Amino acid sequence: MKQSGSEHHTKLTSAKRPLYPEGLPSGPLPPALQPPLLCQLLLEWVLPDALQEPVLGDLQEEFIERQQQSRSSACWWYRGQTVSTCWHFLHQTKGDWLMLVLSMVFFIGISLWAMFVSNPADPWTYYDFVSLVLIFPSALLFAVGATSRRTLQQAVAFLMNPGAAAEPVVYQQIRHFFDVMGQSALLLGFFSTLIGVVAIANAMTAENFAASFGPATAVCLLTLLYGSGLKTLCYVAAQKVSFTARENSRNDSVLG
Amino acid sequence: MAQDKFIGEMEHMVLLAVLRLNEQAYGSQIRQCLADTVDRDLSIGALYTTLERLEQKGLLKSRLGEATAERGGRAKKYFAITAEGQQALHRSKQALDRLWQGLALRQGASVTVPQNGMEFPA
Repeated sequence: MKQSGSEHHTKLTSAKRPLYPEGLPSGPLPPALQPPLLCQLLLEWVLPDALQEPVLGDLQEEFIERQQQSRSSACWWYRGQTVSTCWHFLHQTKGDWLMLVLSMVFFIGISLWAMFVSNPADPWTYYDFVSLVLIFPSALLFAVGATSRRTLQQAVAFLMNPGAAAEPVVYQQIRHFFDVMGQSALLLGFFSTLIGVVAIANAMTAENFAASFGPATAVCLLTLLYGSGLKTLCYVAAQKVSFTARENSRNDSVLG
Repeated sequence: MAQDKFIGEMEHMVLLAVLRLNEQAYGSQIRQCLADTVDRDLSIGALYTTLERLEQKGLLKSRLGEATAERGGRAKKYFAITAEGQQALHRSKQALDRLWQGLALRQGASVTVPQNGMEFPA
């Protein structure tokens, strides 16, 4: 049976038997009184700066009360509150991030769907581990090599929170990072395709032409496909960086 | 202008809870007050969304209070109702009272209107 809010609160108040009757020790709370760490991190990420302290404090206060009855149910309660709070604040504080992620997920989803529809009997036709390794890590390494590891961290931080203000030079560096990564992916795609074409041409004989030319060409074109996909995603990310930089500079000029 | 501000049911309840709690109106206490008094178990996210909205409308004001050990050293955010908030509550109550005038709920069935004889399903 569902327990009503007032019943639960009355039960909480009546069953309050403090674990630390002499009061909580000063300093950081003992691990037994800590709510789930991931939930706390998620809340810190989602909540506006001004609300982090009061909301996390209120949740912590009630969590300590509840975990005197059962730590497990208190943890589940905390997780429920985290989900609900994220639901209420995500669009407000992370609206930019949500749209960027949604657009990328949509692109990836629709591409996977197109691959499946084009060959329902064997959708794994579009998967080739060697081609993936040739494109993704190499493009990332080129981008880090052409910029810096710090720029990689800034780019990841930007993707996690596009709304956070930064210096104009930081935006330029992040944009440069995505430009290099996208261009490298595309060029690597062409380069790897050429390797494949040379290998096909070298191994081609009159006997095996009909049987092997089609499948071998398909595999060698996969690198170009992966490269183009990554280039598209990097293009969107770079445009987002430019847009955010322009918005921030406009806000700064309005504020004087 | 205060005359133009209308409040919804949830805002009405939250303002009344803040009024009842007087000096002790902060997130947990408001949540508990609503659960104990009207059996409304609001999530902390929903509550703070409403509190923020009321503050933006100028019906509530807030201040940061003390940090305690059981809150992990985090400060409380105390809320208090403003003069505009009190006016909005008063106006809302008057409007509801006027709408209820002459109506009586028959238990479990319908609303009766004594003068014109019309009945509405409840």
